[in-house]
Amino acid sequence: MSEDQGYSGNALDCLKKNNVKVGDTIKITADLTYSGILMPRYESSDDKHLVIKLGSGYNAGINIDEIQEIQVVSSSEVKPKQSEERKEDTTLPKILLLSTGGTIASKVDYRTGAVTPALSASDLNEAVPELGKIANIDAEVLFSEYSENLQPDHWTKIAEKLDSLANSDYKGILIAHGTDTMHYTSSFLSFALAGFPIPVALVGSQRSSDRASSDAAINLIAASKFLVESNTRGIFLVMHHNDNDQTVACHLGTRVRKNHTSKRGAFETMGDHPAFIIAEGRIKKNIQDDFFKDAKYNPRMKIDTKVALVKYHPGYDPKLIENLIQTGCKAIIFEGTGLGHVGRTMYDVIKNARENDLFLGMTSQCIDGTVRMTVYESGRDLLDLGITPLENMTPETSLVKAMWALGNSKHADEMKSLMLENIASEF
Amino acid sequence: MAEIDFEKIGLKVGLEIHQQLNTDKKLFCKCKPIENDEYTEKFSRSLRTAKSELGKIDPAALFEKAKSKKINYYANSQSSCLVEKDEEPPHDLDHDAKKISLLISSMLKSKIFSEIHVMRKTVIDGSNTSGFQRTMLVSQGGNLKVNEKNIGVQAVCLEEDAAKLLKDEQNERNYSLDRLGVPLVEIAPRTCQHQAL
Repeated sequence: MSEDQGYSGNALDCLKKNNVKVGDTIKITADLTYSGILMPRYESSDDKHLVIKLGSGYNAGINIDEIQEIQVVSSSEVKPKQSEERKEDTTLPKILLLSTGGTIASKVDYRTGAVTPALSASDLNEAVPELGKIANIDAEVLFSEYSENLQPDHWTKIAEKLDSLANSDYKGILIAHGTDTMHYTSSFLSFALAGFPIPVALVGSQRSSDRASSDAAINLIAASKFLVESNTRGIFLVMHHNDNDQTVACHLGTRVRKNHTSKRGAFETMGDHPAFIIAEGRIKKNIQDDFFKDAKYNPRMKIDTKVALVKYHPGYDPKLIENLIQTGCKAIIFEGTGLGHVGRTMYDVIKNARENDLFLGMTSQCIDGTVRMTVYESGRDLLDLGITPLENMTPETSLVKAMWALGNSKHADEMKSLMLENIASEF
Repeated sequence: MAEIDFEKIGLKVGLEIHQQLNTDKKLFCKCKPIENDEYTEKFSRSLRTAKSELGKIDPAALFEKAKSKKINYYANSQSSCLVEKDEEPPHDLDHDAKKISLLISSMLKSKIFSEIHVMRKTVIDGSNTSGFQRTMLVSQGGNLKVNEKNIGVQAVCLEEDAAKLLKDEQNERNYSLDRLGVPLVEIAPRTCQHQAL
């Protein structure tokens, strides 16, 4: 929110003329008298009203044309908060919480309207005192972005930060992350930090922590417990399992997807149960195999983003693929229909893309299941044209893996071979 | 029993009048406001204390938190959707409920606000899955003449009704979601001394 706290035009002029700031306690004389605190305004609102929180706690919009006088009763004073000395229990393990932003890590100061984008360690311990019994948690803010604004550069920064902690005394690392693109980030970290020696849990929330029904605390507590007690390695995503507050799921970072816009249990492991379930203080393990297929830590953090994810549909214009070739795209991941098909109208442009050395990978828009391109003639045609089936890898994971594989290979064959190698349980 | 002289003891009584509105759907979703004893879904939650808009923790909320009960909700898909389950943001405000509340405010000669804001009123006893009740102040002031006496009106609010308490035990509390979200008008008469109607 801007420093004008959402006020603009006439309403902002009115505030400036009367020397009133958001957070001030004011008395407005109009047809009636209204006393209360001036509140921020949504940025898309009109410029004809001031919003005041009345003594009753209700907010109401007062039309500025009806206002005869505004008196400031008292100004808002923002007192710097004394951070409390944390009492550490030296017998507990250490966890680091890296904040990248999103609902889980944001804090709103409604008096000033300022959005404090990250939680400090003391804020966290104050908000979720249960964490102090599980581990000593250090907190660090990497950046503060809603996840739709996170770009591959941000993934690299997170990976580099984690790499610097590979030999630290942390038992595990929590990453507070916005939920919308959390599974893209978890995929990248899984490939870039293959074999990372300590477990990493990405945690988000679907309900903000300023409400009593927030899922943030429960997810954080479960993720911390998982890091300390699971005795495993890998990149995981920890969120509510379903509607209930009692069960939290821990998903493989390369097999997970956000499958609902708003539910607490929006994330699902595709084609399988979640890797772990954390319920009633116990951790149940569902996976048999290790997350990383090679136990040796092998950080490869480069990335080349010239990859497109293309969802084929009836009426798809092949010229769009021509445009991708011309703009320098080096790989295309198709979300084909069913077992992994695109229509024959696409054959010429696919041939052209292969002649231009693009990597073409096939996933399915069914999301769940494995592509099988040998079953139907069209699938066999596409194989002949040089499309690589990517088995049951999700389209999003395939996209991220292609960016990573391009960045960390010297030639097309090496890139293809990386795409088909099971590195972090992506198949 | 001796008769109490209300004026002498300075008795002041505050009343709130709650009236459900007869609308086709609930205040923030398309669900029908029907009560049903058959429940097809059950889920459990626990609420935590959260700071209010002004950064304060509601004392009543702290009190409820101290009791720390597991809350079980029972729902029927005819009368509850993801909005009642706090699994989806609220939909647009029901037009009929808004119209009726404005009509009531006009009848009470109550001054309608130029802009009405939906607020969160903290309720952490579990009677609302979100941990707050969505409520809005529609108008302030006004009066109604009853039996030649002028009854002052303090405020008229439009809000969502709470979930229905089914059972309250030591460690658990059960609610039905049928009633949650049914439009409700709250009229707060001005407090007055011994003004028997």
